[in-house]
Amino acid sequence: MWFYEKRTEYPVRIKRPDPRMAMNILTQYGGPNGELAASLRYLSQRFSMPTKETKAILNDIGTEELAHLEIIGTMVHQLMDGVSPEELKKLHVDTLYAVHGKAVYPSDSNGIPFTAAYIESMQDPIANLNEDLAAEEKARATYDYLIRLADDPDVIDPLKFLREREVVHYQRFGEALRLVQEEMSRKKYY
Amino acid sequence: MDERNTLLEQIMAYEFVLIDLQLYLDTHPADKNALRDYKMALDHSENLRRQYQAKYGPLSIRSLPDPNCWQWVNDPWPWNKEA
Amino acid sequence: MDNLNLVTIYTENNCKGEAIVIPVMPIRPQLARAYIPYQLYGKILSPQEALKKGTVFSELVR
Repeated sequence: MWFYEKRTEYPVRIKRPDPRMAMNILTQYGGPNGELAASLRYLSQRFSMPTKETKAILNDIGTEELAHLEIIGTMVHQLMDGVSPEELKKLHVDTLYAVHGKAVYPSDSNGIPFTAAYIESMQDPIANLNEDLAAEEKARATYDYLIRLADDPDVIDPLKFLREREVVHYQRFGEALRLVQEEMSRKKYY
Repeated sequence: MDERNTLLEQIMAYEFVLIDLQLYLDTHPADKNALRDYKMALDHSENLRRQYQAKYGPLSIRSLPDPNCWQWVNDPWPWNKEA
Repeated sequence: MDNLNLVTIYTENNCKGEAIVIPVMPIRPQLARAYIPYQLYGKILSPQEALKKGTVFSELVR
């Protein structure tokens, strides 16, 4: 089960609002390579993992992705804080405001709502883990794009943190794949 | 406020060590070096949490610093700028 | 015990039972398979630096 820690994993204190950046970052909330997709994918796939180590790593990375979802939501919320509808109109980022106001909603940067079509969860752990490796690279690449679009260190710092986490997750899923491959070849002879 | 933020960032730092080592240990459960560093970070973080919660309220529902008041609801929440 | 280029995985709970050793890279890689090198424990960063960089492992910083 999950407990909540009343803090973010990494500090988020954005002093300068930036609604355009908020809309860009939204893709990592409800978009195809975002943290909601990641958490649901890993937390669903964990049931199909064959060994204790691979169950643990899917469980624990899935859990960390929820913490990342929180960081992204916090960033969007703070970037929109204090912005008036007039400013949104001027910057042409008022289309999501028309539906949701300044709230945080699980969609991509274009307002397309989150869908489980972004994820897969199969009984085959090798298929699952290869998908997870791809997902981490896509997330890392998305953070590369977002970091290039950002100009505020208060925004860039958490994005760089999240980007590095994807690199580490890739390594762990790579190790999980090695363990599953090892397990499959052991089981073949018994 | 600044002392609170400094203490909170120290907790974030030590507990991040726990998170990153947790993932490493999940795929290396017998690694003695990682286990040693995990234990060190755990002891540090427990000490820091005790200090923080006594002064600024609970970080989780496993703590009740003031038995006469449910401080859990207190502001700021983690997504607020003052947090 | 973790050897030079091997990681020990126990088949049962509590680090007991039969031990499997995983090499950093497989000795006989098979076709149509992806292999990522298994990490060995290296230089650890301080907690503050680790948080800033996004990992405790200096060799995983990219």
